[in-house]
Amino acid sequence: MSLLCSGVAAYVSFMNPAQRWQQLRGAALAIECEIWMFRTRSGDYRVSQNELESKSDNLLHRNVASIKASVLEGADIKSSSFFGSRKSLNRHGQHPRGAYGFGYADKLFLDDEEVQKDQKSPTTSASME
Amino acid sequence: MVEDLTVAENGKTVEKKFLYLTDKQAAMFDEESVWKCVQALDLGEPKCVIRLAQSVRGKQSYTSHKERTKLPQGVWFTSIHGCELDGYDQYIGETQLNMFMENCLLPLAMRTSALIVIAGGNDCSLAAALERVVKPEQARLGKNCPFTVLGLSHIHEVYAKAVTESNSLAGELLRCSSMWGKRRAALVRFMEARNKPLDQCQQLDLSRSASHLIIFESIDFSYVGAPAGRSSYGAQMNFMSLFLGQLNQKFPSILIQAYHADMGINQLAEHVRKKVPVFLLDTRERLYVDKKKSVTHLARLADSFPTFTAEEAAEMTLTDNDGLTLDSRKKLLEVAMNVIRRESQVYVDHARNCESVTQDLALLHRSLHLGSNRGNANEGIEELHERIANLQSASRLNKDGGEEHSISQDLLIMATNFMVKDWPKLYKVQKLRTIESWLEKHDESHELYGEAIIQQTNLSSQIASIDEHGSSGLEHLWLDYYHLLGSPLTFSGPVMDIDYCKGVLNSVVRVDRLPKSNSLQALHTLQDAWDNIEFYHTVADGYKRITKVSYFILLTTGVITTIVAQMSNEMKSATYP
Repeated sequence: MSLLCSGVAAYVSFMNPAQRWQQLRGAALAIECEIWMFRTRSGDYRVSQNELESKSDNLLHRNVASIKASVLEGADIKSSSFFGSRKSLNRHGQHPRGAYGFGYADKLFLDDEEVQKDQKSPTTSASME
Repeated sequence: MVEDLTVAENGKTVEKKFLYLTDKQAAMFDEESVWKCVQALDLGEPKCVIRLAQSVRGKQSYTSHKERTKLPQGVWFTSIHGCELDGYDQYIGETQLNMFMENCLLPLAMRTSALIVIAGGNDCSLAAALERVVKPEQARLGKNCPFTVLGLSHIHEVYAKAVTESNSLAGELLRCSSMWGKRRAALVRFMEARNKPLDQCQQLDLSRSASHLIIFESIDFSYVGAPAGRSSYGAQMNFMSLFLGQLNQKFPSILIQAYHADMGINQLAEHVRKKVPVFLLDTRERLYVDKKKSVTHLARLADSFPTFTAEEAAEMTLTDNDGLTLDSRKKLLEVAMNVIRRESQVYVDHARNCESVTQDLALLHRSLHLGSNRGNANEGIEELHERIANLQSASRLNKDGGEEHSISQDLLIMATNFMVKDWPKLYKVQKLRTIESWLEKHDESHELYGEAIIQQTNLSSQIASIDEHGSSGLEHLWLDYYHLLGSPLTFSGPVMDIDYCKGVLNSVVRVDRLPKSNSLQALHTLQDAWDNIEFYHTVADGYKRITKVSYFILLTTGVITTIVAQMSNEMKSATYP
């Protein structure tokens, strides 16, 4: 019993899952907050008539990049398997079906074979949802 | 500096906020201090700024500039009919302007608690129409009136009226204002030095619809060459640019122009370049189908909107996927140009001239944009990746992807050339005919006969120069016309079609400030952001499960260990008493 307890305590202190959970959840909500502020052009994203629209685009890019950087630093992510992920979950229709995301250019037209293969894959958006 | 004054109006007392700025004071403002001035004026909390640009050469100019009424009508200055063909057309135009104010501008101003900026002097046709419409509303609502009207004027326009007519608004303000009163002696010295009788100075009064008024002194008293001062508009222009620039930055704005643009085409184009929407109001009748059903005399005589045979109409309205074909749009533009030429000929036939440029500019603008895919962007709901794919394919095909509408450069250049080269000639021919007609009716005994002969000679040589060298002298305005006609922020509408104007005005004033569409770069950022959000949530869920399980295990093992240890102790004590 003590051995199990020591093992779990060692794992918790090494992985720090509670901190990572809270920081990742916080970062996800912070990015979502930025997205909705950008889409409603409110807060810092408000653009006056004689300002360039690209001002808010650049600001969104900077803010998202800043949150991503803080996640990598603060949530002790670098020591985890975070970078092992290769495929977007695609739950918001941001990529065509079967696309990879995460820096990969979307293929706008998939072969039938690829679509069938993708539909069988357990990591497709449909199966994840 | 801002004074709260009470003036009498139809037996009632009305509160006005009044600011008198000398040339020196106006020159001292910068971006920060001008915002303090906006706050000091207490302009409320507008959600929108509507600027009625000074629109002159209408009947209002004739009736307000009493110093010019002795001049021959339409020769040196506008006639009693303004820039319309006759009194009936002028009446129709004026009533339609009232309708525009009543049905388009007033509801918008009420809804958005707008700040309406007008020319303070009462020679502007738009400001006069606004006054007719908003005065009853202001009287009815009193202090609860949601919109604010701000008038900007300068001393040269209103000084004569203020001094000679104490019951005019300018006269009352001169009497009540301590700031203006302090400057009175200096103003008298300046006027005496000019040696110009007061009845020959501008005879404008201030617009009574303005609840807030700014008057610029616009006299430079520090000029060495003229001890009594000289007229100077630099500081006024600087202040107005800063003041209106600050308002445009803070609030959604629109500039409305009709008749002749007193600020000049270059200033109108400057607004478009500064991303302030400009709405060109066409005061002529354009939209009837049957010529016999037209209302105004000009439309009947000039065939302003010609009817076509079915074949001609079919040929002109050939379409492809993006709207009208280039040839169709070119034919429509030529139709518009011919309409302007025919209208000009009617003016020549009636020995009248119309220097007002806005209606012709508005007609060309509408014919240029007819059939373009403007406003079709982002209709319906698309998924993010679909929108990105559409924009990418549009950029590969060198199209705009619906973000900005585009019109053919050839057509735009054609329209610009017409305004720079052909339009000035049309006007000069009208003017020459007006002078010739006046000369036919008068002889050398008339005091202005010699001056008329000089003008006739000048105009004849200018027309000959245009024919010979193709130079109208307005080439410096080419880029301004080009920007004005081609900008997506220029809008136009006929005042005869109130519903159309209402639709345009409501679409132009973007109170919510949301863009019509996002750029491709922004969509890629959103795509990346959603990827990260989903992944963070998924990984966070995993860590949440681990946290809960490990906590449960630690808790359970702790409890079990405690229980076992306790039981073990109890068993030991039971075995060995």
